[in-house]
Amino acid sequence: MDRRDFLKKMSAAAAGAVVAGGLELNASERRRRGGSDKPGAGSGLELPEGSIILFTGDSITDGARERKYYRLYNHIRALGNGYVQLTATRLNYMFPDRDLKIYNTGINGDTIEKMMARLETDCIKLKPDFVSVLIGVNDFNVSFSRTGKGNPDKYEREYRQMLDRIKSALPDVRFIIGEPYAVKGAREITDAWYPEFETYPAIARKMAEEFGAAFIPYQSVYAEAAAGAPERYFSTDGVHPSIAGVRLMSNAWLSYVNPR
Amino acid sequence: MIMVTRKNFLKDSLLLTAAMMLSPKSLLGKSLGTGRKLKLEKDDVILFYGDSITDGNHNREITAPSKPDGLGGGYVMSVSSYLAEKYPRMNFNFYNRGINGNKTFQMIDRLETDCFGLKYKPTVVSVLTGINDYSLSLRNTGKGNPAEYEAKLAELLDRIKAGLPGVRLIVLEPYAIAGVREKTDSFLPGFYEYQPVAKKVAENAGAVFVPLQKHFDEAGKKYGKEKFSRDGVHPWSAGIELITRAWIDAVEV
Repeated sequence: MDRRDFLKKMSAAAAGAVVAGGLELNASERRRRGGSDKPGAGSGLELPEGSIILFTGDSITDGARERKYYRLYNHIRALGNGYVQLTATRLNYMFPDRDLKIYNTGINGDTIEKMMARLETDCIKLKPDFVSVLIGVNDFNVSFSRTGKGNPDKYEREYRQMLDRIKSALPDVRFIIGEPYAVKGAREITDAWYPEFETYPAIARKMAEEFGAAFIPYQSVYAEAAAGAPERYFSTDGVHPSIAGVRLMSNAWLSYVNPR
Repeated sequence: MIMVTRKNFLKDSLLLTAAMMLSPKSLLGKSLGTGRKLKLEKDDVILFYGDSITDGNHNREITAPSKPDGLGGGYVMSVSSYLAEKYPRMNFNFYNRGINGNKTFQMIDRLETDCFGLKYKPTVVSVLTGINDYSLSLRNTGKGNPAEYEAKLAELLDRIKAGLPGVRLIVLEPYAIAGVREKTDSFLPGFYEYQPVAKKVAENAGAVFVPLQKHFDEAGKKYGKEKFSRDGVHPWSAGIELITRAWIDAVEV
C-alpha cells in the first residue's frame, strides 16, 4: 500500500473511529496516557484497514485457546479466555469498519527459544502487520531454577534475533512489546526472584526502543493497581492474571498502544 | 438535524433516542429497557445462566468462581473482568453456567447443581435464553411456541426466586440477526415473537430487562451485520463487546 492510499484510508477510517471510540479506562490509566513512558508509541498506533494483529507469548497470552483453530481470526475458540480475546473484542467494536484480523499463537511455557522454533507457522505465515509479544517469565525461570540467577544476555540476544528474523521476513511489521512482569507477594514469586528478574523487563524495554515498538509497562501497571486492592487481587500466583488482571492487562494494552 | 415541532414531538423524541443509540458510546448511561438499573452490592455473587452465547467456551471442569478459564471468552468474561477490575473493594464473584444448546426447560432441570448448589450462593442471576427453545419448536412443529416459552421462562425465574430468597434478576433479550446467513434467515421470522414475551416475563418477575436486538440492529445497519455475528445467532468478536456494554449499562455500582 503506497503512502497516498494509506492516507486516504486513514481519513476514511478516522471518521468511523470517532463514532466508534470510547475506551473504558479507569482513572489511573487515563493519567498514564499523558505520561512519557511510551517509547515508540508517539500519539498512537494507526491501524490501517485490513490490519492483521498477532498476539504471541506464553501462558499469559495463550489463555487456554483451542490451538487447532488458530487460523480462525477473531474467533472466540482461537483467541482464548484471556487478555487477547478481551482486547480483540474491544478492538473490533472500536473499529468495526477496519476489518481487523486478530490471531493468538501464545503457548503455555514458551521461552523465546521455543517461540523461534515455531516462528514460521505461528508468526511469519500469518503475515501480521503488528506483532504483540509478551515473553520472558519462563526464560527467567528456566535459568533461575537451575542456577539461582537469570541469564539476561541470552534473553537479550535471543529476543533481538527473533525480532530481526520476523522483520527480515516481514519488513513492514510493527512490534508491540509487553513488559514481562512478576508480581511480588504472590504464591510463586518470592523475593528471591529479585533483583535478578529485573534485568528482563529492562531488556524488553530496550528491544522496544531498538525496534520502535509500543511498550506496555505491565510491571508498573500491576504494581499501581495492587495499591488499591486486596492482596493478590490481580494475580494470585504473581504471573497469571486473575479475572481482574485480564481486564487490567487489556486496558493497559489499549492505553499504551493507543490504537487509532 | 432533528426538528422538534409540537406535532412531531413524540415521534422526534423517539428518533432522538434512536440517533443516540447509533453511537456505541451512548450504550453507557441509562438503560432503555425498563428504565431502571440493577444495583450491585458488596460481596455480590453473579451467576450467568443460559445457552451457548453465555457458555462462551468456558472450561466446565473449573467449578470455582471468578477464574478466567471458568468464565470463558464471551460476554461473561468481559462483564466479569470489567466489574472485577473496576471495583476491587466490592469483592464480586462470578459464575458461568451457560451450556451450549440449552433450552429453557433444561436450565430449569439443572437448577439444583448449577444454581442452588453453588458453593457461594448467587445474589444476582443473569439469564439469556430463547433461541434454542424456538429452534426446537420449529423442528418439532414447524413453528415457534411463544406461549410455551413464556411458561418456561416464568417458571425458571420463579424457581430461582424461590430457591434464592432476595435474589436480583437480570434478563437479557434473546436476539437474532437476519441477513447474515441464509440458513438462519429462513428459520427466523417466528422467533421475534419471543422477544416481547421475554420482556413481559422479566418485568412480571421484577427483573431488569436488557434489550439487545435494537443494539445489534443499529450497529449492524451502520457497520454491516457480519461485523457482529457470522451466523445470525452467536455474537462474533465486536458482537461480544456489544452485549457486554449493554449488560454493564443495565447495572450500577
